[in-house]
Amino acid sequence: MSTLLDSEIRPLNIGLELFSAPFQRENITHTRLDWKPPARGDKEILDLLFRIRSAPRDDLGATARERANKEAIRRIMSGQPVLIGVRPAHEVFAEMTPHTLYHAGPPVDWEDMCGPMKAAFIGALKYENLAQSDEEAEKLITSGKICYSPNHHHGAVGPMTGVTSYSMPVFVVENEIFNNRAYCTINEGIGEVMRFGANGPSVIARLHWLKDTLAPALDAAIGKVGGINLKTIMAQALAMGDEMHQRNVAASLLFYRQIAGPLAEIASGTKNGPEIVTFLVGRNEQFFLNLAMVACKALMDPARGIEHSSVVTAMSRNGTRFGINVSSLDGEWFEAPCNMPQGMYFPGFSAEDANPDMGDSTIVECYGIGGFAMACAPAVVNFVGAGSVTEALNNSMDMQAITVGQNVDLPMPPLDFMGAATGIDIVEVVESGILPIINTGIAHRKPGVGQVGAGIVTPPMETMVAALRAYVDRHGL
Amino acid sequence: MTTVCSRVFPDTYRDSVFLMKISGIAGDCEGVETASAMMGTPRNKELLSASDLLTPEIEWARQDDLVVSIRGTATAAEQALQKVVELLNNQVTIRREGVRVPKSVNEALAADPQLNVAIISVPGEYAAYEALKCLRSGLHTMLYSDNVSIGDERKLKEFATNQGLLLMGPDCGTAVLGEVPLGFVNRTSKGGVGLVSASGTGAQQVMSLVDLFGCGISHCLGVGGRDLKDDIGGLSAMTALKMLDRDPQTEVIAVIAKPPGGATRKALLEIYAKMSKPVILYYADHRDTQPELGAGVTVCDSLEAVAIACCRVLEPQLQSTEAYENILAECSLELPEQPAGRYLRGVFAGGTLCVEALEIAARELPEPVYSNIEIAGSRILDDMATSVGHTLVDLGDDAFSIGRPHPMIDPTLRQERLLQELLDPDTGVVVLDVVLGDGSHPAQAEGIVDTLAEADARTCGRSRRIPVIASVCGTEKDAPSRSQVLRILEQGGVKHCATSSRAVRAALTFLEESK
Repeated sequence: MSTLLDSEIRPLNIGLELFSAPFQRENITHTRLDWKPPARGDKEILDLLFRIRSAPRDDLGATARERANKEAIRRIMSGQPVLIGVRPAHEVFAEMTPHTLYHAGPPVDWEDMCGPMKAAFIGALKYENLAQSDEEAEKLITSGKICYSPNHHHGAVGPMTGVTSYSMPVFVVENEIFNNRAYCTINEGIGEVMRFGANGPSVIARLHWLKDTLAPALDAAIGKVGGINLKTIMAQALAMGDEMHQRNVAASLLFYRQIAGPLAEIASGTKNGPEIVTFLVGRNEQFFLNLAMVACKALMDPARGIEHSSVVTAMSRNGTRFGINVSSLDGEWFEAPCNMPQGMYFPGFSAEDANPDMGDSTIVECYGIGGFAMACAPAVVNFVGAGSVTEALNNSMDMQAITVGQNVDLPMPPLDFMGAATGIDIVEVVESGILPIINTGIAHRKPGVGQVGAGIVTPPMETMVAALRAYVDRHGL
Repeated sequence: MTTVCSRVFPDTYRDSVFLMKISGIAGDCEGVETASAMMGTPRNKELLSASDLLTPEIEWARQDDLVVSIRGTATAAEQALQKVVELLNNQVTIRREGVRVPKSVNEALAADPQLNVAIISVPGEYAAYEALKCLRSGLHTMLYSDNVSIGDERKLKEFATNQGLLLMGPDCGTAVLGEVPLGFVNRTSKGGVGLVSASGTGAQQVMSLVDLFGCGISHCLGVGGRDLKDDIGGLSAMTALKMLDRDPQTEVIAVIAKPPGGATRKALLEIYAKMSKPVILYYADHRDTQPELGAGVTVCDSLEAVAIACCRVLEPQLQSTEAYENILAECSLELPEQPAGRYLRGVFAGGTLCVEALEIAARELPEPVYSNIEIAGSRILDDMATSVGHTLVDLGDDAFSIGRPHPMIDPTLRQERLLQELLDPDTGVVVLDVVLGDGSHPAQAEGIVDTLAEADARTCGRSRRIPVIASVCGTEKDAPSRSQVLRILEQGGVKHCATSSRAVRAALTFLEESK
């Protein structure tokens, strides 16, 4: 029996303010919770949580779920994502045919796709020379000749529309600890780009340039340096003001620094040298975003399929619906209609122009960067409409409440080097009502207009609740 | 021309006591007819609808949204709303500039790993879950909240027992751990009396009397009113007894219990027999206590007897009955000669104090005695809102306080009932309790005195013929102190006795003598 009566009593007050008054008067060290009803006050869900929380425990006091979640974040944190090359999609995806397209988010039918997603599909078919016009492309799709599925079903991710086609070059990242690979297309830069649904001649031309000029040079340079560990870059960039979702200035330069020598060697003397360097360094501060995404994908995948684990292994949106994957429920999507991002709009645009939330980029928040590491990126606090630096610090602290652990590889200097919150636990999310905070770009709802703002968005709570119900069913709780 | 002005604060929670307070402040603004701040639960929406305060905006609110609705002149309602917004934003212990207030038990423990006791007073439907989380984090837990199911209580207590943790409650109002008061507590001297109590006000009464007799308290461990039922099996009481038995500060242990179940009673007897310290026992009803006496326990039939028995163990010079009687007899009892009505009325805030008075009244009075609580010999009121014949009510009971703060926190309910009794021509004498200490409203005495004055005015002085006899439970260290409160009561024409049983006896004598 514990020696309560001999100890210095330190109370935790959960509830009425008046019970703290004597502690204040007597100078008793105490804490008062900023309490809210758990599960947003829903008693039926609270009952599910009670069952989960009172599951049997082992000698160390841990439930099967807690052990499994520890294992999940052990895997997530011990991974080493190494960029080993840039290869054509058809070379790395065994099941890919010229008529295959991959896209962001959970599965979605053509009829249900948002404007930018449809436009990116059309653009990709034109780029692959399967259609000469929009009409031809649409016909091809509606006639069922195009086979499409989510990037996530193939170990891949893609930003915004996330469309990946047969001949597109993709980054290849190997997680050296678990021998799994992940893939992502190359960032196209800003302006009219296919990830926002633009599909005009300039967009197609750029995609060809990426394939024919940039990708071979990058692949060769990466080969020459013998692979690049992306985790090291991410940790450094965090200390340099990037959160790697809406700000990748430092990470992009750090990446360039690693390949600058070999790239110069390869490109020197060719006419392409200056445009390669200009594209990588001069024009594209978000270049590293796709690398952060593919690194996080490579780090998250080993946490899939751990029996009893309630850790979220992916969050993703297709512009219509938001879906999540949960470790022990691997293979199932838990979906709900996407939320609208809350944010700041570029001059001339407003919330009415915004497309619902879109893209696979939310994989970075699963790992603990992006919105989760907002504390590290005070420079973009206003850009994403986080309110204030204090609020950004608070956001990063809030995320600790819904995650399994702190990532020692992602220290956050403004929070005294506390590790970023890693391993979103659906149980903690549903209980606390605190949703994961995602930093995101906002696409125009009309195809091709491009980015109209940036902001903060959260997954719909329904995705978490649906996963929780399935979790209780699956584990017989 | 009045209008209704409303506002929804999404995903915002404040406790009911705080919301009641700001509703009151907004309602008192000039030009405001009525104001209400509450959580947007379906039940609360019904309440708002009944008072014509439900707006479309509030209809759409979720149950974890805070809603405010104010009816008054357009400008007054708008100003009152601004006032409410200000009060919501400035609640100091929730948000302090630059200091992060933890939102979960885990976060609190990460910030201060030395936290070791939780006091939970959230609405009942969430209380068991919070308690489970606290216990799982290794915190001893006091559960002030009620409305926890007996099944959940059993699960929580089994878990606590396995972990060597003490779960006090549910529905535990009073505990003291060394220097630290939890809930409703009187400030007493430190000393050798350790308490295990199934009753909050019962414990407060014993602690205050022990202090009054010049002794002191080591710890007071609450167990909750149902702990000794066989469904629970006295799990918390057993842990508490063991803790006190090995605690070096504690020299004598008082157990304030409600009638235990048969199996639990037997299990407790085994523990009593093994205790190394003297045990003084009070069961709220009077049954055959031979088995307890056989286990070496001193059995008392009133709370004051418990306090006396404890002090007798601690203070060898305080043995004579007169010594205690001299202290307890101190009272102010100049009663009028002619009563107004024939009946005894009691308006209590303390549950056990009400039971104590009720038992005496039911035993002594030839006519039936009514109440909202059931004891052997009393009858249940048909209509809780109206007293009939001899009636003693416990206003802290769910029948009155559901959705409202306990009358010790907010005495409005009790003042309303007291006024009602004083205006009732059948009322001959009123008994009530005033429980002082941390948690209690500091101006209860003033409220009672004001109520007497109002009754006086409304009956043209006739209500002055109804003596109001208060028992004051408190110490000189409380704020306000016992003697300050006694003075306020005396000046306002309220009689007083040292304990609830003495107050009701005085009232019965008055009714008897003036027949």
